[in-house]
Amino acid sequence: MAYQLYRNTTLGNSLQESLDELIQTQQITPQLALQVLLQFDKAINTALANRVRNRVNFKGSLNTYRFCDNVWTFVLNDVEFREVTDLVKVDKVKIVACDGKSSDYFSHSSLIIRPRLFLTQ
Amino acid sequence: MLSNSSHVPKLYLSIIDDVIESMREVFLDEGLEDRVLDDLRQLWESKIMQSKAVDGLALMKNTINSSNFVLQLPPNYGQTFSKPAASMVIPAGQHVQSFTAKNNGGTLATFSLPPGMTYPVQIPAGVTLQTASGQLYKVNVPVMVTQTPAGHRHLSQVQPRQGVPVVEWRDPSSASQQSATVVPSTVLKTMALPKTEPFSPQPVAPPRADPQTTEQKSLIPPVQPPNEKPLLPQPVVQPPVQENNFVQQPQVPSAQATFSGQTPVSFQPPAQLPSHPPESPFDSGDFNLDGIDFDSPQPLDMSLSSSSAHMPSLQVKMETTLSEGSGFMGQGSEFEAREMVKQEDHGAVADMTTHLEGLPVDSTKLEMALLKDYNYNDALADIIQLDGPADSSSEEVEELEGGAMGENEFLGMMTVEALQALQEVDGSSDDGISSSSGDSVGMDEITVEEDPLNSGDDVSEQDIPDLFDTDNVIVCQYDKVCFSFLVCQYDKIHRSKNRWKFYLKDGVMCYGGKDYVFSKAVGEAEW
Repeated sequence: MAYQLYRNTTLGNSLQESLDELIQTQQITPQLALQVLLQFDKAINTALANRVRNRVNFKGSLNTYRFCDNVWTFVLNDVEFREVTDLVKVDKVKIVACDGKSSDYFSHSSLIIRPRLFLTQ
Repeated sequence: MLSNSSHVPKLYLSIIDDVIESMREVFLDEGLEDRVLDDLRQLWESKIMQSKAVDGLALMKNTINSSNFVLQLPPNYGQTFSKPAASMVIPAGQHVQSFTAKNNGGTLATFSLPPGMTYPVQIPAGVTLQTASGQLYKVNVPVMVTQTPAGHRHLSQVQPRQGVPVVEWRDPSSASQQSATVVPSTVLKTMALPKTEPFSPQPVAPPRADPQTTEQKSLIPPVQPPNEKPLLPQPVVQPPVQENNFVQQPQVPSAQATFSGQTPVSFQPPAQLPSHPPESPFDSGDFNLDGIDFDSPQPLDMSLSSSSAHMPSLQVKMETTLSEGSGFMGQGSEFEAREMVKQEDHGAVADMTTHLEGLPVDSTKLEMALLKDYNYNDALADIIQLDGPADSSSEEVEELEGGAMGENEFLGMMTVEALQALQEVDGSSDDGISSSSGDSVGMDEITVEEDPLNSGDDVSEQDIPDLFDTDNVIVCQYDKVCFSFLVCQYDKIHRSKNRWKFYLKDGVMCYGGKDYVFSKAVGEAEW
């Protein structure tokens, strides 16, 4: 099963919100919404793996780090993201990283809980 | 990240396509119509566009045939759209209405309805819609966008009804394109016409509105009679005013001055009405119009004015919508509203007109005025008048009446529950207690309950206030979320003393409100 990590991105959140609306209007069942999300997981994992080919460098200061259930969570401050063409500076960024070597569903299940509150600021 | 930003919309669209297409069979197996899947897609894309995390998504969508409406643009659309899209958020609702119009050819503009929008959708006058290509279309006349009875949003016919809608911006030439027959089952479009010229970017509605409205007036009388005949017999008919305004008449009389930026809008055929009477045009609540500049008062005025005369039930619905907290952008076209109202020649409308004219442009005041007309404010005031902390809510209401409010501005008339929730939140946020689990007891009680809970939470909260803010619940709306996060997979995380090195891959980032993606990321940080 693909990581559900990406559900809390703009793309994933908008999909979840849309599905919620359809559920509220009873146009779809929650079961079906879940299937859509699973399909989304697969699609985005595939897309990121295959259709994206760019590299980013970043540098900053590490505020906190956490490693739990094979998931790294960092909070960096004063970060500079550098791509070939551009540079973006951010005061604070939260990085959530799942293990890239194995796509384990359960290792990031905690990320699904309280999606909006998990990533703050 | 210019190069990245150009990839992101394509990538997102490809992901959306993958998901939607792969779910199509599953949806069909569940016995759902294609329409539901299309709805999902529209909602999804609209939310993404609303978040503005992706630049140019609308542009990308132009090439994808997922449009709901095919609109013809008036022949006299200008090519220049220099005006950036100004998104107008209509609060209380979660929905953003963004229109992507395919204006490449000039003749057809494809509009995809924003999420949460249900048909019919009423676009008030004075609204400027921005197409995907960045062109601005100004709707000088309130138009109703509806869905065909069959649920097909695609409008194959440019205009089932011949004639130019009361909207002036139809040209006679364009009118010719439209069939003269009235087809209730088809979506009516107010179209401009074959010419593909894009709208001029000028958002100027009022100046143009003047000649147009006058034309409209002149046109309406001759137009109305023929309109009414075919329309009246229909069991469920959109407010005649609307029809008169929007339905194209066989007489395509004068070339209506092409308003720059007037967007053709398809109208719902009367047959559609039976299914929609319970819905107000703003049934979905609020909608966010990207790239829309309102030069005049609220769209709500238009909708109310246009519908009030003929459909009292719609008035009620509007009230209900208002009460539900649908806020409308304060800038509508009051002037045009007045014009429209006058054109309608209805006593009720006249009342509204008078009322509207007497009010300042302030949208909130207008809303309140409108509500008062319906005696709704009394009920609302009664509900809002609560003891204790709730007193401030009444103040809020007064503020609403008095003028623009801060966070409440967009909410318009909020429901009691929303107000209470806000009250609770205001009270709880100070105490750091989450008590807003839907308890609608008096504020005093809630405040009392919060104190003992708060003391326990404070201790644990202080350690990691930033990361795990689980007890404080804030219910609000946001224009833009400016937090940064990065979701990815890690290849390797290395640490040496306090120097950390990150080797990441396949990530999605959001910072500065914008989305980025990467296949590989290398970083270092010092702890």
